[in-house]
Amino acid sequence: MNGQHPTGLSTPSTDSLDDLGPVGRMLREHGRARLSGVLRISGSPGGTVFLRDGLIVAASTPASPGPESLLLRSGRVSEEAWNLAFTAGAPSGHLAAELIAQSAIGAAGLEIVCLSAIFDAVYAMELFGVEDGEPENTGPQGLLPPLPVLPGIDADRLVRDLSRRMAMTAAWQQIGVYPQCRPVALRQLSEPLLPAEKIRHDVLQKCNGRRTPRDIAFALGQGLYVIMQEIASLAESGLLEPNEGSRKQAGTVSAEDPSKASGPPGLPQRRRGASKVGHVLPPSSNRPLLGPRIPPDLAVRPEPDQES
Amino acid sequence: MAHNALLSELHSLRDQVTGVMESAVATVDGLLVVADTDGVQPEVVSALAAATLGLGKRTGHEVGMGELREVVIRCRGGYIVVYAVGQVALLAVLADEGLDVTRLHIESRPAVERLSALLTQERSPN
Repeated sequence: MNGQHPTGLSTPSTDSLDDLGPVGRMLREHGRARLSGVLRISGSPGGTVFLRDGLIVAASTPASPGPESLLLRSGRVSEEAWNLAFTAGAPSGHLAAELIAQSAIGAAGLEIVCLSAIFDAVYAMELFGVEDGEPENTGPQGLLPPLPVLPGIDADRLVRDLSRRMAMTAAWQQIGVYPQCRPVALRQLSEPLLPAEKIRHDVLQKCNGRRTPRDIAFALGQGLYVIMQEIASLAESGLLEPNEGSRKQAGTVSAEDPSKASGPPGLPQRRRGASKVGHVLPPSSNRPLLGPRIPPDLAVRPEPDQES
Repeated sequence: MAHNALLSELHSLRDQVTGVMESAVATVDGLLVVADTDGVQPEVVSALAAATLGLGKRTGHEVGMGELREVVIRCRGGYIVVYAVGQVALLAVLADEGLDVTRLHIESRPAVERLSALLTQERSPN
């Protein structure tokens, strides 16, 4: 399901696949203990893993897009179909069945997206660093996020894939592609002819020196690992600079040029007529153009001081 | 220069909180002070954030829920969060739907305090 885009980078040696990171160790431990509950992983940003009888059924983290983002942002499912299915299915835990029933997406397609979201979330947590994991046993009836993968993924399978991905990521670091990098496109690609090349083109378009790979993954509704892979491949092809200083980019605006400040700088202040809104609004016959707009009931209010 | 200090605060908020994409500081009546924006028009965000903040304060007051913490708007593609910065300014934060909300709540308080101190300094130069 993943890794279908060869990058030309060397495949890591199998030795490193046995080195489990903290997330891998936690998953293996609680998988073997057949936990049914929630594993809250603290870190930067950390995340949450949901298990049923030791199998991983869902995982979410701010560091990688969840199933909803993957489906909607990428356009795989339309906003309208999602809203309909969510209203009908989410309260009873049948969102997936509703999406399929409404032909918003096929059963196989949906499963692939939900599976890859779990693999990606676990990878993202490990990649960004975690501190600690706290298991909470909720039993088999505990609340699950909207699109779980049932019956779930075996922890060992997840951990194997995690190790493979982490080893690939270590290779990309040598060319300057790491999770906190903010790549800048050196030149853009022409509009792709093949759909398979579209993601490459889209990733390059989003590389403006502000976005990290995680930000691009959210913007495009694609997995973090796929985006990291594309960035590494684009960097190898010389199409982008993996880590341009993000402070130099255009787009930071300040209201006043500090160099020509005269007197105390202070906050910007409104000046009458400065907005030039009077030139834009259509002239009204019964109201002066720049006069105050007083509602009629206020305009006729007498001044009590003069009465008494 | 205070503008640069304000801008570094906005940069550091984006670095520290996963999901924060853009941000702006504006006066409470909607004039832009400084912005770290990418796609959005900072002047427009400033003006709308001022209206949002006013509405949030007024609504909170009306229903008796005490002092406003922040106004959070959640859309399909992310969040708009508006904080009051002292009595004179506001901070508007735009984030994608993956925003680490807990982290933002932890980091934003001291950031707002520092922004407030910077803006106060700027108003009363020694």
